Amino acid sequence: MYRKILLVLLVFSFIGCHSVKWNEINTTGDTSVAPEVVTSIFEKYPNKKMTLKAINPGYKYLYDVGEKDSVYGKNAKSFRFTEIVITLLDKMPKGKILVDFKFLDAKSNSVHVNNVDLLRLIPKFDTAGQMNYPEMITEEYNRFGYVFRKEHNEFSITLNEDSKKELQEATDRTYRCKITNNCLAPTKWEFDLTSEDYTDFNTRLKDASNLNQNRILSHSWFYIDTDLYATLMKIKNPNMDIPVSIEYDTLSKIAEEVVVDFNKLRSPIIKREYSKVIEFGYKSGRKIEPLDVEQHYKKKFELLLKGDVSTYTSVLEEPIHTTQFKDEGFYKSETPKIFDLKWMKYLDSVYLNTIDVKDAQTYVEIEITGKWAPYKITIGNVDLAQLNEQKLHGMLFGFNTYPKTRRYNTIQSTINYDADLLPEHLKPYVVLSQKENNKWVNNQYKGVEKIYLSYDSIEQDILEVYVLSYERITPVWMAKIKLPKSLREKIRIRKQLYQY
Amino acid sequence: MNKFKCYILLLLLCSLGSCFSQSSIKKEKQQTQFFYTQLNLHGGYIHDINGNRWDLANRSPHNQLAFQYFGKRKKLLQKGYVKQLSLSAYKMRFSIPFIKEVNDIGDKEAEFRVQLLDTWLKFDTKWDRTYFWIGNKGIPYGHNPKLDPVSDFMTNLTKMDYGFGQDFGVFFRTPISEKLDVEFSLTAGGWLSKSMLVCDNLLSSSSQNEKATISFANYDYNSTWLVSGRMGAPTFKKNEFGLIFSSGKISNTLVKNDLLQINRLGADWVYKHKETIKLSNQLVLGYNTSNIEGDLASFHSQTAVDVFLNGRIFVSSSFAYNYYDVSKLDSYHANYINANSITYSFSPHTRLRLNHYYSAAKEVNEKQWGVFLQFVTGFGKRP
Repeated sequence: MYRKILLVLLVFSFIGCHSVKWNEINTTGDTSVAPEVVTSIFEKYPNKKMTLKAINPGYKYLYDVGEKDSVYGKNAKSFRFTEIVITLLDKMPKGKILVDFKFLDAKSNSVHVNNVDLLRLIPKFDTAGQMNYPEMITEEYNRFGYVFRKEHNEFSITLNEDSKKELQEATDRTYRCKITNNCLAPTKWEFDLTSEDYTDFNTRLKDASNLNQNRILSHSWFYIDTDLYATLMKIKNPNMDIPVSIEYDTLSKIAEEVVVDFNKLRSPIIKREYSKVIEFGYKSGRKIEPLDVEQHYKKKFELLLKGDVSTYTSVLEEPIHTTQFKDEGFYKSETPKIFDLKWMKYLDSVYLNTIDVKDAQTYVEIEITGKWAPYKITIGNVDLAQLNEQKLHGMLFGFNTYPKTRRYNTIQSTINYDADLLPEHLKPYVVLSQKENNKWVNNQYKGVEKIYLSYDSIEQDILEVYVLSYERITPVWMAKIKLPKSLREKIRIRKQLYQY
Repeated sequence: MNKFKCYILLLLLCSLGSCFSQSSIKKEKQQTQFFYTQLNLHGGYIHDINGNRWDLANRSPHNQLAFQYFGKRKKLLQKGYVKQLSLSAYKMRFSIPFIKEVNDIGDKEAEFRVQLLDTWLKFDTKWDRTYFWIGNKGIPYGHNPKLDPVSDFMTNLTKMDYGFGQDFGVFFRTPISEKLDVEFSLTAGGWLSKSMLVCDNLLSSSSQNEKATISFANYDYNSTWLVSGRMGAPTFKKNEFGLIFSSGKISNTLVKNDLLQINRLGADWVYKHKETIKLSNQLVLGYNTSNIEGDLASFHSQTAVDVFLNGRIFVSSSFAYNYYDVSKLDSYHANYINANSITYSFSPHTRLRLNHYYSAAKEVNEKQWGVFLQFVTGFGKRP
């Protein structure tokens, strides 16, 4: 008997655990050199290594949102990564542009992130024709980045021989590394290291909030080569003709003339569900609390300069003033952004429309509108079976807009997908449009940036919808919607049938 | 033998240490512990060897109260990722069924039992979709997901074949490629799957005049064990195909005081259409060795169809068949059950069902059928 059990266990241990690596996705296994348009750009640099300068302001920068590692900005030279070397690999799978990133500080300590597909850091345009204009605004001027994980050996840190024990310890506690295409403008990128600190974690476990062990260890801002960026943009979006260099306000003006055809964004609507809004935050006077850790720190760091954000009612009464995201990607208080959110007071209707998706009956379009509202918010291709009560399901304005952060090596596609792997008919969208004629409206000008969806309990009968302000500083509008019983049944069935 | 035991332990520990994930979470901590109570009332008209009668249901789900405690681990939610292996959830479910039957000599019998159901600790690993469970859980003997699993009336091939549908042990699931998942379990072969406590003799009868007694399960270990596995399409696929195997030593469900060495090899296929139709088939071939009956070849099958209509009505039908060829005695055992159900859903917690079943044990020419009304309702919260 024991021999049999041993044999079975050996078979399973040889099979091993399957992990989805991005660079192995959608490839035939054949490798080739990078396209000539890319290699020619790298050839301009000494030894074909693209060397870029970065800014790492350390403690001088007041708005690096989050708790800091004890090493953060402490030493002017150590772990303040100010030089970036990007090396193009000799061979790579077709459809990918693989490079090695090396981030160096003044003492030659370095962080290595190898085999990174640069195309992953380039926005993807999912629409066609005129719709490219609003998509350019929502994709290119949106922050998105990738996390590399230490426990999966997705990055490594090399210390110089003379490094002190303090740096060695900081290296040991570093567990995440991020490369981000920031939202301010094309070519502005960021790099940061995150460490974990468990010294007070037991106390945090007893708290009512989910503040965790993450600490910012280092944060750098840099510009990627403009030619390389434009080339990558063209490779990833061959049918997109809008120049990367177009001025933001000009682009926005053109985009606001585009009429959104929702029938091209989704499958047909089956029916409007009988749902009941049980709360509008601005009517109930609900107190505004940070919904996630990011908002908690943004509140703590006082990114909101002026305005009454005590309740969902007060926030809509008078214009709010926030710090502006400027320059390489820093928050500045000297030139505040001012938003008048009064228009949201007229958003007093929420409709749930089920979409005729071939895979499921739990995909909906959520329409937030009102009789006197000048604009409406449409959130589409949302699978209600994929939301839960513990997490906030974030959706940025735009058309399958990349999430703010996600893993470089993706989770295997199940009934949910990485944004790059979504089937065409399931791509989500969030649109602010003129209520009367569906003309696209620049949400950034109206002071809103993101939607959060969640359930208020594990019973998954009440859907919570939150609208977040510019730079996701604070929630500014919310509603709770009671789902109809038949939809709740379908949500349960979908989980039981496809996620058991 | 000890050497092999050590290797097995080592391999299990290595697998436990080899698997992990990350997410954004609400700032305010949410409820992580949930209690749920479910009441099941079930009775109707029965035809069996004792004739026809109105009575409580004589097959599962019995009239019962079930209690469930489910928890998500706060620490892991707050931390947001698994470094290697971490407890992520836990569940305890037990039921107190009231079972009323007519025995072989025509006397009515009734008893309460305390029955342990899904009770496990779940561990997440650093690898996606790779999990371990330790505890009492369904055996991976083919997939048969339900559209409406709330105390459903349908057949259970595992229970019909082994005598138990859940077992106590270690369970493991991982993807091995984009298209294949592997499930595996090493369990006690039904050793701990008995009713924990029985309160019987609740009815006095003409032939017996015994007082009600309370007895605990006899946990004498008879060297039973069971290894089960499935390799096939992952559960999120519309079409799931899988190969299943099982091997072990369990109690013989057909012959009392006998142990059966079993080996099973089979396949399953599940087809799903959105959230409205589910069709499943399981076919299993077996080779068994009984201390009393010698070698037995066996065949086991189950077909089930579930349909969800109008957002309110569930229609289900299933058929399960077991056949054992007893070559030593030039005999056979064969039995089958057909179960059908129409359910009206008042809410995700409350159902009213009209159930029908027909079963036969061919070698003894015993046939039974029944038509029942079943009312299920629940209170509290559950995942």
